[in-house]
Amino acid sequence: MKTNGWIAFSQRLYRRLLHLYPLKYRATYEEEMFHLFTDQCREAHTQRGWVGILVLWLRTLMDVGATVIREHLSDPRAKLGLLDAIPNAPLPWKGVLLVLIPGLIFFVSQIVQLTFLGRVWFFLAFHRAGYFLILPVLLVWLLTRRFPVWGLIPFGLLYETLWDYGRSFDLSGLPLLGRFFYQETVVLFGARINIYDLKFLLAVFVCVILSGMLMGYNARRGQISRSAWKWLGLYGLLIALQVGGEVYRRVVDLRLLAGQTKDLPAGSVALTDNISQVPLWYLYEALPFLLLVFIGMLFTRKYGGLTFLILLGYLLPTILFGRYGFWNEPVPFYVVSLAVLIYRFVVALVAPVWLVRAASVPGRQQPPFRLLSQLPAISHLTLLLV
Amino acid sequence: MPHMNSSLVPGQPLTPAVFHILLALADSDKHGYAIMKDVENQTTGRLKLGPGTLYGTIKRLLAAGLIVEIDERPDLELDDERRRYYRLTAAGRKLALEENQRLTQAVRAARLKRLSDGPLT
Repeated sequence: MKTNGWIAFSQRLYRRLLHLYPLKYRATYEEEMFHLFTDQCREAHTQRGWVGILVLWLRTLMDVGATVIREHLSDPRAKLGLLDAIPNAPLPWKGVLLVLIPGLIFFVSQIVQLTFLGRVWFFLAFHRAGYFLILPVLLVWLLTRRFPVWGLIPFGLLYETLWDYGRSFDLSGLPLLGRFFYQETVVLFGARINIYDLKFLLAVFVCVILSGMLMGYNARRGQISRSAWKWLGLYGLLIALQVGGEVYRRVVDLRLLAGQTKDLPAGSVALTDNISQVPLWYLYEALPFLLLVFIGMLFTRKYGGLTFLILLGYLLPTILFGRYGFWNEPVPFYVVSLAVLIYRFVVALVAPVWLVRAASVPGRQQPPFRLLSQLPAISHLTLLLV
Repeated sequence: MPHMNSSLVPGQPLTPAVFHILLALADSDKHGYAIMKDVENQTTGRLKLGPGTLYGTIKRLLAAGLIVEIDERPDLELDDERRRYYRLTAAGRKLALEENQRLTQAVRAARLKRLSDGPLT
């Protein structure tokens, strides 16, 4: 390559790289940046020849990588379209793509699951997606201090993955707590709790902290409506009733058992242990769900009730069918799976696009959205009552 | 009130790129390449701004009202008409002064603790 060829080639390449920047930014600064880079190239070549150009390219690539991300995140169109509610304006298509990527991964994994041949692949793809798709969301949240609406899908996915597998995490490998988790039971508030249940307790603890922080923050800003408080009160009451009912049932069962076998007296350690696990079980399921609904509620104020559909799309089939182990029942499996597949297709691919491309007015919900926003409450309350 | 973004929060330390660009414009109006060379000289080559960092920072400084783009050309004979020139505003000068005071105070504190006397290693 001739001497000037290095500069000419670098110019052509840099001109192409400039296309990575947002359109508005390019319109203002593209020529300036190009001339500056050309000046840098000439200087580098004069001083150190092609080595200088190579060193310049190393610096330039790092510069382009870092600033392209920053400019896209701070682009007014991106900020309005991807990170905040815009009244009466649809999400730009690049935002729709972000919404669709996790939905697509989720849906493809569903199809592979149904083939029976790809269960390993399914668990690999689906659950890894559950853990890793949240990373860009957290990055955007950290950089912009706003939770992006397209982050709801990865968030729902993470929730389901944790819900499914949180119980089987092996915590014995943790550096400080590992030794603690090797024990079979620990005494907490006077009751012996199995280590297996203690994992639930950790999940509950994290959810209590997160829910408390979110509620406190939004309550101070007056962003929790009166109807939301009523719903939360009713939800808490139902959980308490459910826990009370389960404790009563276990006490009655154990007394009956003690009466029959005469070797398990009521009020024994076994009874205390058994009862102490009940609230833990219910809180494990109720609190993360509450957290999810609560976050959905905040988004619904801006985006309408379909936001809930995105979140709950990953949860409802698990709640309704997943716990009954229909793997072992061949006939209903296909029927249920087909229904779930159609439902998840709508949830993962149709609803998100519909939601983000439709015009929305913050603070005002259309009648069908109003009904849909009650969907989580209705579904969960029905399950609790059943 | 000009718009402030996360890298230009009042009362918070400025990033090196922001501070050195403000310094580069403190004595005269300059275009992008001249700013870049000035920053390189100020820092004895330790801070080399790439085009993305330079113009991204310029964009934020313009939005915050700390610098302005000017139509005047300092030297018509030597000038390339495609270049844009930038000038420090009163608000930009004030911010640079505040940052200078903060850094001076930090250096004074370091001297009091004899951090400036010993070798670097």
